Amino acid sequence: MLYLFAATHCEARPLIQHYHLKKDISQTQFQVFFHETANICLTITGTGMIAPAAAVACICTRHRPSAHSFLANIGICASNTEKNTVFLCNKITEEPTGRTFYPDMLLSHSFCEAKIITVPKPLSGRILEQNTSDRKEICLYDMEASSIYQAGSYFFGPHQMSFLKIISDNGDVQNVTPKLAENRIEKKLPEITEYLDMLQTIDRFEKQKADPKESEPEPLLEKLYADLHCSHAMRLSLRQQLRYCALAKIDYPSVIQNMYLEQFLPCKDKKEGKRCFEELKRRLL
Amino acid sequence: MKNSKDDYYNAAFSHIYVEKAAWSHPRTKRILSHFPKASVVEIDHYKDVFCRKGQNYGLQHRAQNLILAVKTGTLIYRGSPVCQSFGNAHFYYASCMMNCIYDCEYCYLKGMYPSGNLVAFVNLEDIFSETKRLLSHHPVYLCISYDTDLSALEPVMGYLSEWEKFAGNHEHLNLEIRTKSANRSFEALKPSSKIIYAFTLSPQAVIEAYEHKTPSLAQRISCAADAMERGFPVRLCFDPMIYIKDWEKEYDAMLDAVSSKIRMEKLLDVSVGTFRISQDYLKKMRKQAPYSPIAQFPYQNETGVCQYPLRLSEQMERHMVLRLKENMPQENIFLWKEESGVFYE
Repeated sequence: MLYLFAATHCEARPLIQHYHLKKDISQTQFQVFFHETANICLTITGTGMIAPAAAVACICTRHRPSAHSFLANIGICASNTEKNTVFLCNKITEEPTGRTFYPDMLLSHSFCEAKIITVPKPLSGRILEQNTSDRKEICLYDMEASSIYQAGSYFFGPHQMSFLKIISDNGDVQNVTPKLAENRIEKKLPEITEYLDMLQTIDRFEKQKADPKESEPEPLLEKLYADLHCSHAMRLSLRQQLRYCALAKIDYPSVIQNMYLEQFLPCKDKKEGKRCFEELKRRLL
Repeated sequence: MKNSKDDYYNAAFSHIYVEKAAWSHPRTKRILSHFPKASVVEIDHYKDVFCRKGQNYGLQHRAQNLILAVKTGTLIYRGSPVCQSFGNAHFYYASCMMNCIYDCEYCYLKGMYPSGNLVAFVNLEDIFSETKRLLSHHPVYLCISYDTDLSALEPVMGYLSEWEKFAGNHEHLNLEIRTKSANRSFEALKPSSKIIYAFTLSPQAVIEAYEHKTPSLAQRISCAADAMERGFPVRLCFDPMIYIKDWEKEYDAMLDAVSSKIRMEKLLDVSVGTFRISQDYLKKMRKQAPYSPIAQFPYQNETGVCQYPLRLSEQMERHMVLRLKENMPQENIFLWKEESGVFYE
């Protein structure tokens, strides 16, 4: 599933419309919008540093992400540049604590990259150019990214989280109206949705690849456990043995079937079961 | 329009993380100059990136990033009792890089490190100083390419040539360069009996199935033959031997290919050993690679070391040693024995 988080409704509206998301009325603490078949869940977190962490924890506890799910935080930010583009954040610094977080940058994209500093309240006044070492860098400022990363890291790995930001101002927050925020996101919607669609494709692909049916020889197991009089340790060992056989494409069902035909199986007691298990292991390798 | 899942991932080293302390180091600047299009991200400490929780080793290997850092603390490690010393009394290894550009499914690094990204320490001179300090006490046998593959990275990093210069000035220092690479990094080095090139070889079927991104067997053999030709002592490592269907046939074919190109009696030595790994590393590998036959093999746990069933490992090692003895003296064949507590990879 694709978990989207936006601070305000005006930042989320273009995405809600684009993906035809429907409001989940069972969710009362936060506004949540769903599309069952598209597998998208968008949450409006509220602004500041506490509300987004609560929103991520709440939604991800209710709808547990899989190993292939993605989280994306989309919103406006302030910056020391006028650049009218979408930024993908490669470094997130939490201003009050000085802690820094690094989402993995594994996927190709068409965005600019920048670091972002999460501040507890809106910046007022113009932002001064930031100098780091001997390099001048674009620096973004928001109020949510570090909270979303930290809360998200309980459910997602760093390769599953993306932070997409569009500049709305240079620190003159009084000019940032809901309409302006919505327009900024709307104008960049094709680029944003292209990236989000890519995340969904990868999610689907990885899910198919990891289909447990390919590697879990479950149907045979219960009968074998019983017929071998397996102890707990033998059960674990047998499960591992057959898991390997399935992955290495060893025809273990035929081997087991032959052992039934040769009347090694079923065994009459635990002692015979142990001997039979050793024979089975020998035949499988 | 993208037509392959791999198109979604960045190329290797598309992002380079540079520690603040490493930023002004000349080696950092030289390495960065090889990647003019890379996004460079400044970091406080390499562990801020390398040791994050929840990293996916496999995906990170698909789009591996580079971290440039300054190594502090222990710079040279005493060779662990679980590593093959080849009879050297003062056996050490240096970790001037962590992780490898190759992606072998059985590699112990997958269990040892939390990340698939590659860390290169730029302060080689500190590692050299520590080596000098050890040399003031006794001769040193130093493996410099244990937790990485320096030869594969030589065109970009240039660390081997720096080690060669350093070794040239220190009579009692012997270096081992272990590699699966077919880079002829030795062409830029002055042949020396003190620099051992150790090539890890596997049957082509194992390479194709499990040693992702590595050169073919033929390329590695050809590279090893050239290294011998140029006057470097060459060691062949048939270690780890990997169990596959028809392993006997596959390993025989490999040895035939080796002996057709390399005069086995001219080799410095060879090492032989079946795959074994610590239980802690295997646990991590199984979690990271739930669909890898190597990770999911039902190994036997012998005092914390997971290995093939005794019958199988003895059969594989015996077969290999007997075949090798046809072409080379037995004293040049180092076989890993559990009793001696010698194991690695």
